[in-house]
Amino acid sequence: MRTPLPDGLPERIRSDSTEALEALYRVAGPPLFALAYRLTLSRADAEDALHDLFAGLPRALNHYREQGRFEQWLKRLLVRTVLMQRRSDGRRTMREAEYATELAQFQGQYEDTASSGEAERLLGCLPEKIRAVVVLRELEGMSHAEIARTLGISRAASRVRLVRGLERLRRTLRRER
Amino acid sequence: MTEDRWKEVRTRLREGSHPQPPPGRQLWERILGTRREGRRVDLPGTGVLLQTRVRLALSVAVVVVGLTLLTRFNHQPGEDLVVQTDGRWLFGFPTPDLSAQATRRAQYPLLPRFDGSRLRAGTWIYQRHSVVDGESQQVDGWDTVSVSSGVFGGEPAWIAASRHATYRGFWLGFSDSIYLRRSDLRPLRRLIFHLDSAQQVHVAQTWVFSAESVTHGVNTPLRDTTVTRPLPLTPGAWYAGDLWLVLPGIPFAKGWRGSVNDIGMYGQQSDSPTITPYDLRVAGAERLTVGAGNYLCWKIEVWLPWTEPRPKSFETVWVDQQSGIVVRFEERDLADIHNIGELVAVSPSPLH
Repeated sequence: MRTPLPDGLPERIRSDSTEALEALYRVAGPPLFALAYRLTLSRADAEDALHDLFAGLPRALNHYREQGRFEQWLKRLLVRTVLMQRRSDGRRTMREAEYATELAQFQGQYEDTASSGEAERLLGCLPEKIRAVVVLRELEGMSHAEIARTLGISRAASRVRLVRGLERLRRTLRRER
Repeated sequence: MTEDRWKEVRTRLREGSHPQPPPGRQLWERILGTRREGRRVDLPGTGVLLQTRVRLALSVAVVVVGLTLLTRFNHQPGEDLVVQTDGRWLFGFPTPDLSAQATRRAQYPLLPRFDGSRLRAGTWIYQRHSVVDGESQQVDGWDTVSVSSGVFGGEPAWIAASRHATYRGFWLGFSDSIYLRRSDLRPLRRLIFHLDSAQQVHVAQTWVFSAESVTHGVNTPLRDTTVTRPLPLTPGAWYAGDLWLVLPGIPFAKGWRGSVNDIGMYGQQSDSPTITPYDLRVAGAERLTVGAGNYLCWKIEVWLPWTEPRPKSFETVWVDQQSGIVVRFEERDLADIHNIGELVAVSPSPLH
């Protein structure tokens, strides 16, 4: 979120101001959507997450203690919203991720490898739990401490998942060489 | 080179490349609609997830106690295994990763040949589910395997056809047909057909084995390619993606240990097919009750070759002692997700 947020936005949203919520949506919507999309790799799921986030934000702000940056807090809330939705979907398995790897490999035959879809395709090769760490660390620049807090895992687990995720990406890229 | 490519992609993303088109008025109108209706949307908290940690700790404790009890009463003693969870699936999944296969020697004596006389015609249906953080998830896939008798190239053969389906918001699956020489279960021809119903993508791969070579064809909506490469099949060699089909041909017994050569020939981009050993050992005998009945099984641990030189990883498979048919398999991934498959139906019953 490179554009700074207007001052006092959280307080105004908390008091249920639609204008304030729309101002936040205009500035923070696209980057938050990008984050949700890279976590889910599905436009529909990403839109659902963003919808829930903005629709539930005025209530959720009652728990916002104004410690740390509001943008980071929003990201954390979005990631947890995505994880909550995915968990309820119960549709993650390692085997599926492996299938995705294989299909992605073949789909890559007729995709422009330099296209912006390449990153999503590569991220699709990762199991969801690992992909979350890779996205938050590599693309969002979060620290391992922040990732651990967001995902409810230890810092060591965050580091391990990152290393394994990057290793898997490397393998995928090597295989496509 | 691969590092550079990932860095390039990462930089582009960090600089602000967003999915196109971005969320627009339509989504905003949807949010407004929800607000107007006064529908309550509960979001998760953002504090430290203590509950998850406590739940995880309790799950671990339960698993440790359970495994301890199981080991005490059901397992025959053997070497301690290092539970490492990286790697790719052996059962029901046909893509070993060539790049990770280092030069490797078999741990145990190589199996000289499979005994084809124990394989029987029949149909077996497996149901799969996963366990995430100790919680059992919904059923997410089925594997159906049918074996019938036939002839290929004038030789008596088994025709093993399997269908693997997995749900992840849409159905994803592949079907697999293999002709095996009946005497020693040597692969003769194989066809795998992948289908992604959501993206309307299909990929068909065929392998035709001769005494000294293998011809591998790939068919996609955009192209057909065929590559023939030398591949002298060593005795006992098998394509590991469906090792479970040839498990009846292995003479398992208490304390049995042996290695099976895997023809790692996936993909046309690799220079040549490789042969890599899998190490199998009988870890114990267990009686299992699954959907299809109650079976006295050998518990087999299979070490995966593609994790070398990192710590070994393994999958566990339970095979019926009488027929050699797989009754249950369990795989664990590095994110600590267990994938479990169990035999839920047989028709006609080839087992008992």
